[in-house]
Amino acid sequence: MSNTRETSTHTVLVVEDHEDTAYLLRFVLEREGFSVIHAFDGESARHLTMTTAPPDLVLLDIMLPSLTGLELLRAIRTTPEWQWTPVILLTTDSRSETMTEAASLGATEYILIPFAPERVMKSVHQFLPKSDMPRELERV
Amino acid sequence: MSATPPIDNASPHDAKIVHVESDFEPLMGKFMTNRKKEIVTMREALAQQDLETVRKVAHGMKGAGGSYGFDRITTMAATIEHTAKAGTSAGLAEELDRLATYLEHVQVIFD
Repeated sequence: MSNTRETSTHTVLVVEDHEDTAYLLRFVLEREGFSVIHAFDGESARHLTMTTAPPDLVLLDIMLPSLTGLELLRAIRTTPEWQWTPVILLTTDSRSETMTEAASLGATEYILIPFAPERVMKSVHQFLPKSDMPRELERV
Repeated sequence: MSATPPIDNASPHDAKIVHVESDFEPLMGKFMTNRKKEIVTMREALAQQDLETVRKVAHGMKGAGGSYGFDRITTMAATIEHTAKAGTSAGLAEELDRLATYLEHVQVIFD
């Protein structure tokens, strides 16, 4: 493992139902020092929005059991404490109407699956909140 | 288990050597084991004409394959997903055999 990677104390919520895809995301995040919370389905993640403080960023698969990623995104954007949390969507769906809907719901970024791990990490670093900036300004 | 050895009907152009970042070496055993389990799951589902399960499993494999560096897995899983989604089992057994053969023969080089 490289010892030249930047480390972080940020927390990322990974909402992903595919075991190995979730494992890969956790691996690349943790090797850079992120704390990772993992929810296997949309309902579990929605429960987190009602019971816990928001993470610094959410990686969200669109295709989930029990509650879709877009439905969860809507829930995040309507939960006051979570509404400014950056949400990076992961999806195999490249249809323009899906991307448009995701943008209208407040998605921060949209990454196609399969993904290159370094591509995901680049976006994570790009959209992580800056500690000296109010969250509502970071999305502008 | 079949007594007949698998037939390597993969295309000669199939990439059977895959280069993967050395950091990911600890993940590979579990990744390959789970893909082989998914082949079993899809074969069992196909035997029962449960094409929705075939489609779902193939969809997950399509995403995981390329993300771990195995673009060929993504391509083959996408074909299986597409066929199952169309509601036909024609050719699926052969596609699953081809994917299983690839998983048996692929060589991973950690760079």
